[in-house]
Amino acid sequence: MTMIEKRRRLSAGLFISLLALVLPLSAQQPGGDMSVRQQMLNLQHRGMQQINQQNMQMSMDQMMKQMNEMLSHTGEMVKSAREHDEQGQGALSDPVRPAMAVLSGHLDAMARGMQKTLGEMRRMMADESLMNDPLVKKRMHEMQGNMGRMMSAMEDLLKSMDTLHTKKENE
Amino acid sequence: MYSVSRQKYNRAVLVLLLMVLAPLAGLSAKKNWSVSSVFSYTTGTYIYDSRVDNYTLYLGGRYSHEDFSVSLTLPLVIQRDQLAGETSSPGPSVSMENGYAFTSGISDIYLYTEYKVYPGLYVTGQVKAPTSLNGSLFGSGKFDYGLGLAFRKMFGVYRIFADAGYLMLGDPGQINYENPFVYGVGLARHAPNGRSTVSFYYQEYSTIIKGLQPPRQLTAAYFRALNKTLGISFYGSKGFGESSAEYTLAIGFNVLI
Repeated sequence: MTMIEKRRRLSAGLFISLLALVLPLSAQQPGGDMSVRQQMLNLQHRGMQQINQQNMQMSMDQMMKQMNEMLSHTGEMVKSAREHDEQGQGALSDPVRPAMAVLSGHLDAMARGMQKTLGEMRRMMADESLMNDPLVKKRMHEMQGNMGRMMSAMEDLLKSMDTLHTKKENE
Repeated sequence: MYSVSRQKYNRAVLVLLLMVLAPLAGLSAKKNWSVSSVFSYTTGTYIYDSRVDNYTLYLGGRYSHEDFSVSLTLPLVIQRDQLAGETSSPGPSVSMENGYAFTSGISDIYLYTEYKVYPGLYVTGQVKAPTSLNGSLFGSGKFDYGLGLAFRKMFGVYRIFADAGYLMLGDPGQINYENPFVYGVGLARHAPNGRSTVSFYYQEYSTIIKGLQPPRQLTAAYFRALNKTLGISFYGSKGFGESSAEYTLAIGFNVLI
């Protein structure tokens, strides 16, 4: 068999294979049956109903599957976090949690007391007869400064505790 | 012809539903439950010359326990179009002077379930029940059923998910649907702290209506946990083929307990 004959046979084989492959595919192409399409075009709104069916189906399917993917992952994360907590490595452990809550309550009470004292001092400082004495005036101003600094330190402490709580909760 | 106030009323109802139901949904949540509300805008010309816009509110719930989960979604739709012909829809329809028509209605309820048969492998089932009014623009009035397999596998912070299935669609009467095969492939990236996820998902159906290209769509989604129970999600889709919407944009809330 010459080289030309071999090439001809190969080409014919390729052509037949391609034909066998493309023929069934072409039957799937739109245009194979135009009557339904034309009907949908003519009916407009009624045709759109059929398209809505497909779109709704696909949109819900897609959202559901992506949501499922996300929620199943979130579920796994939550489960893993719970197991982590149960091992006592995550959030504040049981004996520490109530102690922290009590400490936090005391600090709040102290802050309220200090606020009240500061208010009393302001009223005293507004009393001119009392403030005529230069020594009293000087001491009152010093006390007010000290109280202000203490208040600020207390607020910082409470904020730090809140941050610690939030951080542990998030973990 | 209906008045403009009717159209405003429809819009107001939709916005109100979105605002009220999203937070309320959380109150009804039970253990192992999550509830969601998604508002989407879909636009496309399909096989027509003019544009069709759909505003849809999807209200849904999901229950999961061990290897099993079931989700339910009900869409409420408003369609804005310039298509001719009767809508034949029993729902409210408003025609504007500029030629636009607004049609609103409830679509069919959709149930989707998964059961883990092997690590990473799930059997899936779906049923669409005809909750839309008979002859509605948004429903076939028939039951649809589907069966399939889904696969998920984690690779570090990435997860590949894929599914394939077969749908048995109910014929609305004036048309015979081909029962399609469906497949989808997706890739998700989960933040290491589990608070956010980005995912891409492509899905394709085989022919449903002879002479019409079947739906194909690529969707990108972003989920973000706002706190322990509340999450926000964003979706953007690009459709391919004449029976797919050109673009879809959506925003949703998930409440997880």
